[in-house]
Amino acid sequence: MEKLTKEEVLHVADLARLKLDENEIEDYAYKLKAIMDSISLINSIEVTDNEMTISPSTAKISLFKEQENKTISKADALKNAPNKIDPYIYVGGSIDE
Amino acid sequence: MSNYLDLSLEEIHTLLKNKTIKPIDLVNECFSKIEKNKDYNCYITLNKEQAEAKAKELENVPVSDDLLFGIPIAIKDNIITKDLKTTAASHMLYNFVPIYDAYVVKLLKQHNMIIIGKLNMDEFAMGSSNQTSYYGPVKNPLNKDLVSGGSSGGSACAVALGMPFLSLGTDTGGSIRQPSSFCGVVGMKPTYGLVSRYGLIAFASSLDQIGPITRTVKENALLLNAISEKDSNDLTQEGKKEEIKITDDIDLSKLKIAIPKFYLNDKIDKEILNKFNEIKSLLTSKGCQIDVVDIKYLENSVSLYQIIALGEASSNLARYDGIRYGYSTTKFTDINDFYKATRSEGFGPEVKRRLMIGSYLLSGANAKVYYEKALKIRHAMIEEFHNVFHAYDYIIGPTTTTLPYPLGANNDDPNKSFIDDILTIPVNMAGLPALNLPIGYSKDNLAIGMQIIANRFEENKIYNLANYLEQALNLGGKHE
Repeated sequence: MEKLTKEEVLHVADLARLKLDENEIEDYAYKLKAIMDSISLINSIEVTDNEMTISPSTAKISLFKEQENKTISKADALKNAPNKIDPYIYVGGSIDE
Repeated sequence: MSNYLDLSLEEIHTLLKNKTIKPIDLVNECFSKIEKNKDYNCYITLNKEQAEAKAKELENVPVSDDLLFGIPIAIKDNIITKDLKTTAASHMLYNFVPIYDAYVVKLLKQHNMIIIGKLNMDEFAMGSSNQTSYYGPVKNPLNKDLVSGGSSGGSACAVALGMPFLSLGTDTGGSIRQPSSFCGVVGMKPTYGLVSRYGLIAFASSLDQIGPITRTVKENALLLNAISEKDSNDLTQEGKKEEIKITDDIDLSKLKIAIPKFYLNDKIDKEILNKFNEIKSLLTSKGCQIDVVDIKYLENSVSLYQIIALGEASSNLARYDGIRYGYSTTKFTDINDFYKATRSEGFGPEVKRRLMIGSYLLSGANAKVYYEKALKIRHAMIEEFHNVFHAYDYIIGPTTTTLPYPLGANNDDPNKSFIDDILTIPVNMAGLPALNLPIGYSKDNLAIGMQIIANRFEENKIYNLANYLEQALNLGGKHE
C-alpha cells in the first residue's frame, strides 16, 4: 500500500498548524495518500468551459452600509476567552525579551 | 408516562388551545423519553432548566394559531444558542457558551418553540456515521448495533424516537438526508440561500445549509417556513419567496421526472434499488412521465467534494487558535507551538485529516491544479442540472448506496465517509433543494429513503410530491 513520506506528512501538518506524534505520522501517511489518490481523479476529467462557480448563491451581494452598529460588550467578548486579564484577552508573547 | 408527543401536531395544538395540556407536559414527556433512550446518545447538552422555565412562561401567553406554539424542538450542536453550550461535537469547543443566537434559533424562539437541547453530530459536521463525535457515536433507532448516519445523526435519531419529533440539522454533502434515510425520517436540505447561515459554525461555506428533520412531510414544510425568513446578516441568503403550501390533490399525470443513470448503478444495494423501483412503478402507474437521463460529472462528486469542502474547511477552521474561545493548551514553548498544540489536542483525527488535505490543496500551485479545476467542474455540473430542469420537474433517486452499517465498520478507510455521500453531494454543489423521504424497510427492518430534488427555490414542488408519496405509502412517522 502506497503512502506519503514522513517529510510530506510533516509539511501538510505544518500548513494546517498541527503537530503530530510518530504514530499519527505513520497513520496519516497512508490515509492522506488514499484521499489524495481519490482527489487526483479530477485530473482526468475534461471540461470545455473555463467558467468557475465559487458559490451557488444567486443573491445580489452588496457591501454592508457604512453605519454605526451596536457591538458586543467587553464582558461578552471576554466571556469565552481561556486566558484573560480583565479587560483584555491574554495572548502569549511572540518576541523573546 | 404520557404519549402526547405521538399525536399529530394539529392534535397537540388543539389540546394546548383548549388547555387540556400545557407546554410543560410536552417538555416533561420529552425529557422522560430522552432519559429512557439515553443509550442512543442523541444529545450532547440538555437544556432542561431553561426549557422548563420557557414552558412555564408560556402558560401565561395566549395560545396563538401558530401550530409551532409551545412545541419542543432540538438543535444540532453546530448551530449556536445563546447561553447554551455549543460544542460542534468537538473537544475544541468543549466549554464554548455562545453570546448570541443563530438567526434560525431566534426565529424558533419568536414562534414560542421550546429548545430541549443540543444534538450529537460528527465533529464539526465532518463524517457520515456520527462516529467522529468527541462525545461518542449516535446509535441507529432501528438497530442499536448500527450507525445512525451523519453528520446530523443526533437530529435524525432523536426525531425517529420522538424526543422530540422536530429538529434542525445541517447539510454540507448529505448530512441531513443521509442520516434521515438511515433513521427513517423526513429531512430537507433547502436551496442554498433559503435559510440564513448566521450563527451556523462554518464547515464549507458555499455548501452548508440548515434544514428541518421531522417525522412527516407536512411538519417539515411548516418548520422550513418558520426558519426561512430573510436575514440581513447573511449576504448569500435570499429567504423565502412564498409560503409553502401542500395540497392533497396533486395532478401526477402532468409531472415529468428524471432519474440520473448514475443513481441506478450496480454499486447501490439491491434492496434499496428494488424499493426505489417500486416507487418508480407507482408514479408511472399514476401517469408520471419518468425518463432515465445521463447527467455528466455525478460520478466525480466525491473528488469534487474533497477539494471544495476541505479547502473551505481548512480556511474556516483556521480561527480555532485557543486565544478567544474554546480549548487552549497549557503545554507549549512559544506562540507558534501554542497554536499547533492547541489545535492538535483540540481536534479529532478526522478533522485533522481534512484540514491537512484542505490546507495542502489551497497552497501554492495546488490551488490552480486542484481547486480551480474543481470549480470549473462544479460550474459544468450546475449547467447539466439546468438542462435537466429545463425539461423535467423533478430529479429522483435513492438517498444512499448502502443500508446502515455496523458501528466501527470501515473506520480504517479514509474515503468511506465521502463515498457514503456520493448520491447526495451533487445537490450541494449546485445549491439545489432535496428531501429524503422514507419509502420503506429492508428485510432486516432497516429504513430505506429516496431523494426528491427540484430546481432552486422549488421546495414547494418537492413537498407536494413527497406528501403524495408519504400518504400513498402510509409511512409518515411510523416505524415497524
